[in-house]
Amino acid sequence: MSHIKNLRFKLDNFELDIPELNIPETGVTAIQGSSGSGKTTFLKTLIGLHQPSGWSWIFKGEELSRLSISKRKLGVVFQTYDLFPHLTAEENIFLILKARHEEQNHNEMHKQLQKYKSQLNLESCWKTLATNLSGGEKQRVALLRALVSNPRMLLLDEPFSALDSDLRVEARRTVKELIQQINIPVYLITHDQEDVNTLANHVIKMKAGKITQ
Amino acid sequence: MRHFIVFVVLVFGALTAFYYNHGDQVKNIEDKKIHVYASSSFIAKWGPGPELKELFEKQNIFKVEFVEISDMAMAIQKISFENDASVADVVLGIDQFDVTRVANKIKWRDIERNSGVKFVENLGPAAVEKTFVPYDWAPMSFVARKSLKTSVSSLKDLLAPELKNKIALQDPRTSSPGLQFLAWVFESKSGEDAIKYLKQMSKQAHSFSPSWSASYGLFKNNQSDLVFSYVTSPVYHLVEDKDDQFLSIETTEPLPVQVEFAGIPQTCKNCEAAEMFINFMLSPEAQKIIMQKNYMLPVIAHVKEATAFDALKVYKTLPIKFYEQSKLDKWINTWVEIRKNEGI
Amino acid sequence: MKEFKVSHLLRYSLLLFFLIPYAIFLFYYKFSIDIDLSELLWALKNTLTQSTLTALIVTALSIPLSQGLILLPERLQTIVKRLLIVPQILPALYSILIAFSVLNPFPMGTMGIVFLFVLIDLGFATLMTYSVTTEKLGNMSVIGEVYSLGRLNFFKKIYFPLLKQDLIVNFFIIFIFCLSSFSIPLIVGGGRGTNLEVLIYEKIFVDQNWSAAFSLCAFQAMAIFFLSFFLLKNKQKDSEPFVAGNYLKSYVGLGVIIGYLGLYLGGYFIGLYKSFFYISFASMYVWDLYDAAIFTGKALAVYLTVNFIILVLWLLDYLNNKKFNLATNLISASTVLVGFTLYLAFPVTREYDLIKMTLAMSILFFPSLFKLFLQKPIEDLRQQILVAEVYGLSKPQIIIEIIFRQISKQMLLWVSFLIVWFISEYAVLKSLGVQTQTLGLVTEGFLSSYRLPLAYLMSFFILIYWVGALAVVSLILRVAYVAYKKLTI
Repeated sequence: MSHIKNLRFKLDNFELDIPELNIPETGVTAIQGSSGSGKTTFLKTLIGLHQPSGWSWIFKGEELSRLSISKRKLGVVFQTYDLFPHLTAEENIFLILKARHEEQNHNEMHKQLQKYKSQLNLESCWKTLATNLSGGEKQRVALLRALVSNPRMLLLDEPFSALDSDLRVEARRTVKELIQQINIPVYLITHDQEDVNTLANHVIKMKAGKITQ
Repeated sequence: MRHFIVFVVLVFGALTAFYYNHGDQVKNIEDKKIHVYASSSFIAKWGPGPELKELFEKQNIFKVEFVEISDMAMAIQKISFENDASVADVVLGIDQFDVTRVANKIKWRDIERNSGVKFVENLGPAAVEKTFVPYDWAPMSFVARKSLKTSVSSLKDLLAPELKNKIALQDPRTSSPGLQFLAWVFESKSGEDAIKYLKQMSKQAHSFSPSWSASYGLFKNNQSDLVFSYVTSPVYHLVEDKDDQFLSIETTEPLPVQVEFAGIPQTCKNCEAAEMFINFMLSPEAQKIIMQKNYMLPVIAHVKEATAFDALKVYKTLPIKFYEQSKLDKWINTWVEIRKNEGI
Repeated sequence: MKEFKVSHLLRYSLLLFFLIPYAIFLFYYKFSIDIDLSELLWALKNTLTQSTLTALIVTALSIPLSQGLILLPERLQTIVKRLLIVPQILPALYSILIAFSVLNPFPMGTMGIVFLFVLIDLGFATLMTYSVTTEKLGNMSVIGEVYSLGRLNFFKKIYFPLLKQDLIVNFFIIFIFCLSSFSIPLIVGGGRGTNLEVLIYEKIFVDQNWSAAFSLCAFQAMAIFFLSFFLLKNKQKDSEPFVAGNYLKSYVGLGVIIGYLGLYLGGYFIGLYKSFFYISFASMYVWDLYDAAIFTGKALAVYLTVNFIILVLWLLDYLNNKKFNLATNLISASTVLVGFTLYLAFPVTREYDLIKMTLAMSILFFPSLFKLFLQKPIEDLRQQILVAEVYGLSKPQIIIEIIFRQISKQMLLWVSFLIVWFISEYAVLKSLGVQTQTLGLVTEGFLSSYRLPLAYLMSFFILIYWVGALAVVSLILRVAYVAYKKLTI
């Protein structure tokens, strides 16, 4: 279990108040709540964007709360995907590949990359500038980027909310297939019950900055 | 990031070491060089500096290096801060007002002149000054175009309604000619009359420019019809522009006189060579160069002959004076008050 | 802990670098507050009158002018935008000459100063208003037309409410430019337009009252700092695609743009055309020009390198702290103070010209040009910078791959202003006591001795030199980037 303790954080009129929380270190854990429940604030704290004092986050025996953003080695798919628009899909991936992997592991990672790329059906848009990709393509490139970044865990922040409803079904299925191949936990931030039903092994509910379930 | 910062620190360290070591390497060359501080117009290609340098270096073993100064007070302030580290051997362009107001900020060397030098009579006390040697002079008046319809033959005529916003003057605090005009008014009129005149002139004048060149530029660009300048200015136009449409106005009041001096700071490095340079400037060849390039009158006789300056009228002039600091301050403060209160 | 200390050292070193002139001043003179209140109020009155009038006129006029610009097709728009920035680029003395030829007799004093400020800043203000209009109004003009709002109503209910804050910011940018202007109030004021900067000049050069000068400089710097800090903040907003509806187009505005450019550029080109008849006179200065061009090129190379280093350090500081250094608000430092203090600090001989010029111009130009061209585009990349950090990109990689690659157009604009302001500068160089001739000083020599045709020819040469220098810099950056990519593969 990943263990969070004494997470208290005030931001404008909102307060995040999580005295204690255990999150499984395997499978998909959905953190579910309606708009304004504190999911995004919680996510930003896990990423390292907010730095409340006195809290603790132990993951596989390592204290992550003290680490800088880059040292936490997370794989994040943001709600707005945030690809680097001036780079092609390929360049977006390779930039992260170089940053996150030791040189001796490159070959291994390349093999994995080819596999994921094919599964995510990115061959046709591989050389396209990110700014010219469709919404669905951006989402898949963002997911691929997270997968090949050698992360401790994946954080998916409302990964399907920007897609049309018919694309969402397809996207959930793809993500589910991919998640089953990786051996790292996935934390899925969502308000959508369908996301929870399709993907989640465990559910944590949030309301007004507190954990309710 | 750390590597980059170390790199930047090393670069600045190298520059600092160069800064401190550089002095030793140039010392030997400096022994045969004199540093002459002068204005940009003196040093410019069209000024007397380049020809004077060439002639002096032909006649002597010393090299001349000009150091341009944009402001006399600043230059003397800097020499005062630098003290023994100062490289100034000669300072040119010191006028009568500078002698009183700023020159006392540092110590100057007495200058021994060559025995054969005979100054023109107009120079009066300027010729016998021990620490400052005059090298050119000129009366000052108003310069206008010959086509000016309004007749001007006195200071009072300048207040004619036809001349409103047509007279370019200078700020007496930043410009010697400006202070010359102020002194001219106070010398020509009694205390109260002078103040009254200045108040009227403050409303009458087109502008009070920060420098002579700025005001002369306004005149040349037809923004004003008259400018307070040197009586030799029309000669410049005649010779350089082949234009004879300019004239200097002769007034019933004797005209003020501007004299430029050279001085040697006590902290000079090549003091004897500096003295040689100043005496060189008093030679007929050098005086001719100064006259023809600076468009000012020579301080020794028999230089103007067979030149355009020979035809210049001989004006009635005020005696050359070194005014007391307190008097100058009083005049300037009066002007400043008029400026503020009369909405200049 | 070590990382923490290095980032603090960087932050404060950068701030201190831009405060060097004040430190030098305090080194030479004892600090004491010495302000003649009546004199300060008088100068402030002039300052406020000149700056407020100018900013009001210019901001108001920029609205129809920006609508004239919107009317133009894209290609023509790009050309006109470049022409509108010319009055800001050319040294003030050209604007004065042009103004004198347009208005004869020229009204010296406050009116003359305001006229000149408007002449110089109107183009720039138009571009600022154009920029906020196209960023913020999206489709609104079309929607207004669809629902028959009427032009007046559109401006009352949509345009002004949405753009009010930005127009106020534009107002204060022009206000600050005018407040710290020196040469125009000095020359065109005719002794009547003493503003704060001229008063500082008078305290240093006329009265030698250093305490008063320093007090005034500190007062002015604080005023500008607070204006910049509180008012010139970039508000984050995702811009929507702009559609130019008819309510945002104006033929009158276009007519005024044509008139304005015709007046300014026409005045300049007439002067330039007349000066070509004097080319034979220029031949005697060919070697001086050659020497000046060589030295200017060397000095420019050093200056650009130093500014590039400052930029990288600035960005490192930003990445460490997630906000820009406080020094970004030290825009419009007193040129008089910077020139004077560095003149005191360094020997007068020519060996020190390069270092004096580089220091002075970097302190004077870097914060304002950064704020004008680079600050907002970099702030717009903050989400991408976060993503890059999450994925472990190093700071140099973020700077090169994420920031530089995406703001290359703005950087080119930034560099082009750095170059043209540097090569045409002379006022600061005069007060620094620079001995070696630069292109700017040669021009000043011609201007102050009223060899005006030669001054015009020099201005034209400077423009050509500027284009050439920019081309060389662009080439060097491209080659450097290609080399960097090859080395990192």
